Amino acid sequence: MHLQTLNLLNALTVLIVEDDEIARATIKQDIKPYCKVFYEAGDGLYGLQLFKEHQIDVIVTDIHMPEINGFDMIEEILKLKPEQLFIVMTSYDSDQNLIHSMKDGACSFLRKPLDMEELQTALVMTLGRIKYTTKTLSSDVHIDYQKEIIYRNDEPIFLSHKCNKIFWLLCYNIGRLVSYDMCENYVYNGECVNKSTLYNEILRIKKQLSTLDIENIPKEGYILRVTPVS
Amino acid sequence: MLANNFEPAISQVFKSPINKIDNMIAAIAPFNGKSLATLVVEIKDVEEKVSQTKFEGVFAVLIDANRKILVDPTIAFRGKKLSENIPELKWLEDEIFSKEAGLVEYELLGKKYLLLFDTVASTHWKVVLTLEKEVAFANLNAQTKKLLYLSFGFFILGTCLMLGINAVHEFWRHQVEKKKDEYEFILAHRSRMSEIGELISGINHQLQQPLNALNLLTTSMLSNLKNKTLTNETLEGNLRMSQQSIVLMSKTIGLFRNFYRCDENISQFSLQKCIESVLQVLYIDFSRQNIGVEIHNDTHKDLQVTSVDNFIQQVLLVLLQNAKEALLTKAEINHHKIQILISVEKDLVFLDISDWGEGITKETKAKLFDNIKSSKKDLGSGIGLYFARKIAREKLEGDLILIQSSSPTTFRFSFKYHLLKKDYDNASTNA
Repeated sequence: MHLQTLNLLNALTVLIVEDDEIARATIKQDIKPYCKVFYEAGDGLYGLQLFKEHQIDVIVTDIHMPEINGFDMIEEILKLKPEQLFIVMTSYDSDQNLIHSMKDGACSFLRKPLDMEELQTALVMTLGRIKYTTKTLSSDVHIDYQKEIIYRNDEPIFLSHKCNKIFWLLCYNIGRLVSYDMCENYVYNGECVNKSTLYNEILRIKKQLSTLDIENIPKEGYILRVTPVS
Repeated sequence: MLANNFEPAISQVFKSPINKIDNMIAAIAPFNGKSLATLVVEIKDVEEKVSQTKFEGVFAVLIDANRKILVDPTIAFRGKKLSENIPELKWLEDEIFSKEAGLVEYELLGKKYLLLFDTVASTHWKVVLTLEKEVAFANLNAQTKKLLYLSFGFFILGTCLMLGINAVHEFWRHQVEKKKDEYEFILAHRSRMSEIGELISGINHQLQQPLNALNLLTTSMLSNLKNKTLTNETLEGNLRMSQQSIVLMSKTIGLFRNFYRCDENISQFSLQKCIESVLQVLYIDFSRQNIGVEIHNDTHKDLQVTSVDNFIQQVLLVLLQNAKEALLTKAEINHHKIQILISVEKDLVFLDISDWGEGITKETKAKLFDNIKSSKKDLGSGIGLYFARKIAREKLEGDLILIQSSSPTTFRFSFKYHLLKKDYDNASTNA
């Protein structure tokens, strides 16, 4: 693949989830030098953990892995961030049925045995599919999805770690319910959290970004509502 | 007609289906609890014998198990009970049917009679000889001789009947044995084929990873070459990784080849390695389903066993596949576990394979090791247990039993620690 094309990858943050060490090392060799940030995981659980800790544009994943398999990991991630992009590496046989049940658009598929150039091409293609690099949330707040920066009146705003995570979880799910479970899963690593703790964090967010419309649904969770700009 | 739970029996008298006139009886003998052999005899022959022996003052009667008279010089009496024909003699009928054999005196219409009765072997028919007491004591010698001939005659008849039944029985038993052997041979073949099929599927999966790695490496090197970004260091590293992948593929093929060779040689080998090679064969399949296998072998890590490693692996394969199937029915995504516990006692090695899967129901337990499976789905693993046990018992001087049905389901596979060729040959022939 032409070097110029490869250099386009410098806008991407990529996560590789693959249990075969040699394959993973080879992919790292040919992708890491070109992309912005490169993460790797040897199994689904670690991949899930990395997703929760960092903002990732594309996740390249295998299906058949120890601990939890690729499809389960994808499902868990999609529950938290429905618009996460995936490239799935699949072998022919039994995956056919599973592929049909996957949501369209979120995933592209690469057949094994993998071709390095095909993988690089697939990554470049995702550039075109990254939706909404920026989005306006309210009259004075807009966000950059990729860089994960919040702007109020065009000035970057920094929230505390937990607040930040809750905020972005809401942004991944604009107009959709973010349940208490989802918060616990994504922000607090699955630990049980008092509802009042969450309430306080939301209050803090609202303090700094007062124009945001974050509605509390009693006993269920929160929704970030954004009215479309006319 | 004779739903009699497969007991030997003699039927009621019935009309010959051929000419609708002659009276017939059928003698029936079961074998294997599953089928019957039948011998059909015209009752005319029996009657002839009886009427021939009728003589002055003595008569013989044959009564069936339901107390109906079969043969009687008085034709009108036939087909009815003695108590129906002569109601006053009901007590006599009861007497005859209360014992195997005996001698009774009775009086009828002013005459005194002696009655001798006996039971025909393996049926409940009664042979009755009646003589007038006067006649009896008058000419005892001659009468006694004739009586002897009569009872002897009945005895011979009974024996012939039995011999006939036996001959038929033997013939059919032999036929069934032959069929059974043929059937088992086909079943064994089927089971083997299904086993090999699963192994081949395993080979496919095992080979995919190294092939994938190889393709990535070569396409990567080509691409970098074109872009002039291929350093010598990278080239060397990639080529070494390629080599690793190739070695892995070769090992995988070798591993599987061991499984379908028909090697029955006894050799000495490490038990740990033997078990591990089975696990390697199943690795990819198991890890896809998130199933892990633990070997608990603290005290016998270096155990060297003298036996047929191929057979031990085959039995283990069957047990592990079954455990896997049981685990898959449990809905949790969590890490499923199979445990192998190794212990040695006297001259036997015990392998306990446990899983915390769905368990075995009482109904299944009874038919667990049968070679006949009701559901098609079970064909793969179902037949497996039958043959696994066969191998354990016939080839390895051991056994395969279920020691716990659930939580965990545990099978105990035992085999001789030190298998001698002599034992091996004996075991096969004893099967």
